[in-house]
Amino acid sequence: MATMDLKRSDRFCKPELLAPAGDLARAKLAIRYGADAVYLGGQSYSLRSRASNFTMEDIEEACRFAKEYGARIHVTVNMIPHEEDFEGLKEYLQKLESYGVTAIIAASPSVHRLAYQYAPKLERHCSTQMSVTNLAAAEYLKNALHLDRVVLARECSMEDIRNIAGNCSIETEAFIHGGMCVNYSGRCTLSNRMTLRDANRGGCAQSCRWNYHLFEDETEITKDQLFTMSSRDLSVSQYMYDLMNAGVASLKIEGRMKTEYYVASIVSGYRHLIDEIYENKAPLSADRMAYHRHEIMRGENREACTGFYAGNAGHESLIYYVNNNSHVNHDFLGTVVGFEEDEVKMEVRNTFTVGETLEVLTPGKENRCFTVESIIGSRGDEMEKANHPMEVVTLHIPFTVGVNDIIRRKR
Amino acid sequence: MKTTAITCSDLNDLKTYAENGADEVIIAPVDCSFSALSEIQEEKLIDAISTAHQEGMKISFLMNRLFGQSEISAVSERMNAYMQAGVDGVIFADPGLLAAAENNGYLNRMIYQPDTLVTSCFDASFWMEQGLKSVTVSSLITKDEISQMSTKVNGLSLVVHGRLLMSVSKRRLLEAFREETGFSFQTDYNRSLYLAEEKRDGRMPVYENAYACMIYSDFVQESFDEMTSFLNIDRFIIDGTWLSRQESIAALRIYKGMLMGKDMQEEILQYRNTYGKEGRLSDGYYGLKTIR
Repeated sequence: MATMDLKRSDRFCKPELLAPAGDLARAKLAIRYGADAVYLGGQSYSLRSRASNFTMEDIEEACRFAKEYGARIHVTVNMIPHEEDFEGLKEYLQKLESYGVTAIIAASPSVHRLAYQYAPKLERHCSTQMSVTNLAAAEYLKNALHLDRVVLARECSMEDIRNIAGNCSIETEAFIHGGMCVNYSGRCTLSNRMTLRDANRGGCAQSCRWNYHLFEDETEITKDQLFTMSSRDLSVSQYMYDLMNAGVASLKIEGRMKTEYYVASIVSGYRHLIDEIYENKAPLSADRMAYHRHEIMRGENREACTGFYAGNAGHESLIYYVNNNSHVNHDFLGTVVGFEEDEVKMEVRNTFTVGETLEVLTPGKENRCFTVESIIGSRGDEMEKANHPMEVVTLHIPFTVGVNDIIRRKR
Repeated sequence: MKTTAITCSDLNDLKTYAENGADEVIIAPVDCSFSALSEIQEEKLIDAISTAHQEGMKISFLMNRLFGQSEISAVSERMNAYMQAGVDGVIFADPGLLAAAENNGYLNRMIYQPDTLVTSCFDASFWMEQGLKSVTVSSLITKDEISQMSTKVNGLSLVVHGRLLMSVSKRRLLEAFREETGFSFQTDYNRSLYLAEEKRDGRMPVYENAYACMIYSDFVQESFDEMTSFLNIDRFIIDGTWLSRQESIAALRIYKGMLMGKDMQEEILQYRNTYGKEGRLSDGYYGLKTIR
């Protein structure tokens, strides 16, 4: 089918960079590292219930902090609710509104209705659980539910995204990075069957990543290698110019279960990429793209692919072997907890030695490197190696750093 | 009126289904469904409508795929043609089809069946208020929840019998696995493939076509004992996709008999003796509340 006439994409736009946060610390980190908005879940009503460590006080504080930085907070209310899940929901939505939450992300029509009726200042974003894959669906749902934004299904191709975003009468949001359900979101009950944990109410056990015997009638096909459905993570930095040119309003990073290091690295990487493309108003050179891709992938601990952006997600989009990006877990060495003159106090997370070259990630700055000349332990003793997690050590550093900056191995 | 609806993969069976109590048959036009149900070629669909009507049954078309931007327009046109030809219902999951139905005045023939998404009376009400013919309740909720929902919302459907569709992927998972391993087997349209989780015994049919890889439950949902709780449900679906013709008909006769108020205990016993070996039949989630 030929590309449709686009109504919105005639204006190149700088999209919202939307980052995940599993707790308040990660929400603040994401904002410091350049997220325009953060999405998070409360202790009820959200998928990823194990990631949702936000009390109501945390959400309020996240809103306050976001406001300080000109950022926004979106709250996921994206479970597919059973009857009893509606208890207290109205009051919950009203509290979110009073805290200054910008939007809720929901799939259930009734949740949208409640929000529209009782917390009308909240924007209503249609969750990817609704699997919107075409413009007609987006427009129908917009009209029926008074939506402000629709989150497109991960199954959309770049061509689909271009056509939907370019013609949709409300904002669109697309996933750009992070874990992917191998099945259509919201339509998978493998976890329910295997563990009774409800995937649509935050209990997904990721049974798709387990191993399965495959039979043809009574004959087993799988012998030395079992069948599995584990998807690589999504990473589409190479489509960034196209997404911005298509008028997609928000670009979403997945990963509310991920670490602080993941959040800081990925957000920082995409922040720099988006800013540079926006400044150029044109695609970047191959060299610059390679640089940004390298930076983004420093924080990614799974193999990645471009999902359905090119049309199909085939063999290359799945993981059949032990993931080999484990080096990522070795790279994150610690965070800055204090700085005075040329000395940095660093809370250690991973081992490093004198003589190694380390790199500092500072929000809004290019990464800077230094060589470890000495390590002073928490009791004032000089050490060759820092190898006690959470110990605060002192290093000499030749430039200014800030509290919460991240220090990692140079790679 | 309480009605029975049964899937049909062979149009030669229409008369038999009518004779055994089907009020409605469900067939799958080519390229439109997330289902392992055998697809019916386009040129036979119009005849199927008139044959079903001659037999005194309604007929619905299963069009429950999620359609990409490049497909939705053509599929909507096909749906309009089916509606004009007199199809009684279109079973859908993609709200994109509702736009066409609304524009052409067919909303009251649309049946929303997104498998997993309708789990409360509030959401069921929302969809019915859009003017739809019916909404199919998720099989993931308990008997009591279904029962309560049906007292609050009119027009509900329920899959009471058959293997449940457990997952749908747009990825060609079998084809990808074959490519990875070099194992030799037919991936497309192969109805003989099963998955068994490494540490479990149950075998789950897995079926792949050009549009999706689908995994079905390792059990056959059976609702004979629960029917008295479901008397406010309007439409009872027997999904015979993975059942033999004989088994589908046996189940159909029982549900129809129960809806007519007959004592079907003897037939139920016979059915269970014939088809219920090794825990194959199950009441699914009727008695199991999933956890978060």
